[in-house]
Amino acid sequence: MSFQTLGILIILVLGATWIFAGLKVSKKVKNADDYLVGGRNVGVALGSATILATWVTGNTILAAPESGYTYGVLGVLGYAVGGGIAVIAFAPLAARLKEILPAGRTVGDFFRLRFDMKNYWLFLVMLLIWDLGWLLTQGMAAGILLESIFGIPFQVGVIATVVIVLAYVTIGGMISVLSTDFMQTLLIMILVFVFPALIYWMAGPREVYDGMLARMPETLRLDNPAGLLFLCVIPLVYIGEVFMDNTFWQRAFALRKSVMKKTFTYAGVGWIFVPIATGTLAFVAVGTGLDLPGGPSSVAPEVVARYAGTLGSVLFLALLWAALASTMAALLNGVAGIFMNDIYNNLINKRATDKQVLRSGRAATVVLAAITIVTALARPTTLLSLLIWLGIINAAYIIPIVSGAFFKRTNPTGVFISVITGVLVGLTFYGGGALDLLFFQIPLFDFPDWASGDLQGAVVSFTISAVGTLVSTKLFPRPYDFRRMRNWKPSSVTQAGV
Amino acid sequence: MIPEYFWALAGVVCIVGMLVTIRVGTRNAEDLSEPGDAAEPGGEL
Repeated sequence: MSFQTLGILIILVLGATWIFAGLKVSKKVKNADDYLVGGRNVGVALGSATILATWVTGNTILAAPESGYTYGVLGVLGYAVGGGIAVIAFAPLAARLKEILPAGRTVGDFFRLRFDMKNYWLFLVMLLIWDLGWLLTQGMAAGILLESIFGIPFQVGVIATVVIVLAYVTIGGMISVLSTDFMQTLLIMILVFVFPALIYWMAGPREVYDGMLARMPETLRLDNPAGLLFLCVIPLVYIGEVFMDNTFWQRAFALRKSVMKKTFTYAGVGWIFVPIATGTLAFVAVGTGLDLPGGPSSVAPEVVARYAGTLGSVLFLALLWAALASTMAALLNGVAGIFMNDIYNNLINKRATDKQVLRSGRAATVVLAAITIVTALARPTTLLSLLIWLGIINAAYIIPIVSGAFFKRTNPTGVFISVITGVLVGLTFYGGGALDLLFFQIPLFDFPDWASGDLQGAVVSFTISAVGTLVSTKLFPRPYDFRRMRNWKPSSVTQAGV
Repeated sequence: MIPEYFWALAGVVCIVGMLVTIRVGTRNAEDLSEPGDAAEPGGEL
């Protein structure tokens, strides 16, 4: 059997297992609530598993080692602690959301009910940009992975992955995602700890350490300026991602209230070990002077291919593909949720029945999958540059969301102006004085080197939106009655008389 | 001061500020729970 055939076989076996699992549980989907928030009765084990599976993405397996290769020990620590803190910090917010918005389905529900329509539309636009960017990167990563390890054509890899994920997400929605997440998390957790041990055993830990000391001693230093900057700022990007990401909000609404804090805390702490395990693979490359023809982002597959042999590469593929598929599934379901709940049910057809809303969600999932395939095949940008650019948007929403959830006097206009200003100024710092809109730049100022940079953009964006939100709330308070949110029911549920 | 250290310090201040805001929020938030809330049915794993 050729190496390529083996790769295709693995994808087919894993894909068939997940589709079968999705089909088995799909009978439980009776209404839009089941499709979007899994019946609102999820416990600690399943909840932690689904959060872990969603948050362990292709980036955790590929970009964590890249951070280790670029920033050394501090890079791995920053990646791991930043992502873990983000999930743990979401725990009190999730508990509060369950209390103030018990019938909520998406993050859009919160913005529409808590603030006003201008904030709602601004947030939906920002969220869709972010979600589509993430879907695109996961599709691209799947294609690159299958191409680099097994020589499967990029297009075939992208299409096969998206179609398999689409099959089980469309059938069972969130319930399918939950059931497959559990299996995927088990697979990820087993493999992620087997790999570093195997690789270090093959390469020799002493040789790796001595090699790092001789070749790139700065990777071991804890006062490395670039590494410290990454360690201290990247949590802001991750916290913003989690707070904005509809997949996390859906899980908050899906969990039982009594297990909320425990579930997010367990998932956050458990997650920290995954990038630490994968990130240390980079040190083997540094210590042994491994050649990286594909650049730093290919460090993990290169190390695995060099030290783990055929069986290792096959297992690594299974690990990465499980991570990619689970994230893509959650994202497809999350973005479809925004469409069916916030656009279809609240804008296009306010009197829609539950069945109509459910049908629109399934149609949206198929359309989104098609968009993912088309954009991923074009390979428009790199994963990391897109993520950091999007991080500026994410950072601007942290304090507005916290303030809106906990404080009853938050000023909606203050939030709106602060977010827009924060994002625009942050993107200008990102572009070194030019407003960076990803596809083009608008030159405005000429910032000195010390005042510009990608991570600096996130700090500026967060600071402006936080200060603007809190100061406007203090000076011009706008009282809000949280019972309005608490007593709210989705219109499709009201129609069905539930 | 090395610029990276300045921005790193700014990042730490932002994160601490956010955690303090959440802490103040959880302590002072209006309690909306009702008597029926406590009786939550057991459910999935």
